[in-house]
Amino acid sequence: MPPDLPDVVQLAVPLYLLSILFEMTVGLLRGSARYETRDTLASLAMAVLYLVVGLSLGFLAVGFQRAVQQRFGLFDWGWSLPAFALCFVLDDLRKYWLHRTQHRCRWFWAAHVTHHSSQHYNFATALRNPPTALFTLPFVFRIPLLVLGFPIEMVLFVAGLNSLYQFFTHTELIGRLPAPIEFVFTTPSHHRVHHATNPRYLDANYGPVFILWDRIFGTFVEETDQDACRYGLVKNLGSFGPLRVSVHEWVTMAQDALAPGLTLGQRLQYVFGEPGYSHDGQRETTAMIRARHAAASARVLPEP
Amino acid sequence: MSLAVLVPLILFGVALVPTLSWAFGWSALASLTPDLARQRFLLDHPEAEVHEVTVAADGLAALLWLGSETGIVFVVGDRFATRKLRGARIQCDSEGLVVRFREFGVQPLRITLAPPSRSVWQERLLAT
Repeated sequence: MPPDLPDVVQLAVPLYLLSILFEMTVGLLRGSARYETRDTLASLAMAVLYLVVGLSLGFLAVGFQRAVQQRFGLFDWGWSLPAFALCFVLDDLRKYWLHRTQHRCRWFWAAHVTHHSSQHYNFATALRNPPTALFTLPFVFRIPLLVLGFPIEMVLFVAGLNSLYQFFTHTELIGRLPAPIEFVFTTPSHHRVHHATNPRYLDANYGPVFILWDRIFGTFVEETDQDACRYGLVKNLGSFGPLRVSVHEWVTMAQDALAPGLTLGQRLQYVFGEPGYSHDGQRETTAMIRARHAAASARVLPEP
Repeated sequence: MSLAVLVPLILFGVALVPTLSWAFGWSALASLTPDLARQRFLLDHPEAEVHEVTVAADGLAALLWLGSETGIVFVVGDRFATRKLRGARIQCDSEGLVVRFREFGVQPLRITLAPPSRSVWQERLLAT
């Protein structure tokens, strides 16, 4: 019998609100505004839309996951603390790969881009969740956990804790934490890098709770004082409208994929290839931007 | 948490936070100068050669002549965004230009230009 587990994210709503008010107060006292009214409103609108979609359609995703666990689940883990701990770590690994895919595959990026679309980095940005995320079917990444037999209630509970932790990494209030913490856990410093558009920071630090995944899989980049983070997108949005913020990449992707004169392969690349792909080389992927930046940096380095 | 508590709490937060942000004066729009526009454009397009910069009368946008094409910097709240105008639809009128981008993420921009630079840019943009 599963224990009565709370919905962590819903319980955290007052904490989110208080944290935003605290961050705004510090910004006011320090005279360094980290909030912009329209930007904040857009972030909160995304949070509300995300919640509405989740409450309306989330039961379908949960039903699918429950069916997978019941039909294919291999082991009975029980409800012990070690089972929760193992589920938490494996779920974090699952989220690392989902997050990496959200940045490397345009189908997933079309939704996830919403979360990165603010040029500000604060607790409100943490809530700028993509209302269209559910339509990319991100829950398929949970199948391995469910096949291992972790009950859906446990999986959703640890995912809630994971989201709660991630919220607190979206701030400029905290500089660097002690080295052992920075080595193991994702900190605000690591996640600032993830949200930055500076070429050397692009596509890095995907780990939700454990930055160890990035260290293991070669996607870790350290924040440096010489390269202050600039937040947002490589091509920043020119609107705060909720519709444009939430669906702009879907519209552009459809325009690209349905353009006349393309081969089937090119159309598929526009949908499932890397963001920035173009059949005529008119655009750049993040790998191209990083390579161009590295080449330019090498040219200005003094001779040894 | 029941929806009866959650929904009012969320609505309260969504109303309170932007209101406070507005009250703290964090709604002011950024404003462009020629130097700022040039710097900001080159940050996103380091390979570009900027030959000429014209800032709109309201300071909310700037057009940059890059030799054979046009770039634009425009204000987004207290920050900026940049684009090359390749593929955008340009409409000229008595006040300046209206730029409509192909991408859905940028709303149409009105660029108000003073008479001498208005005709220069209108001719240049219609030619390219």
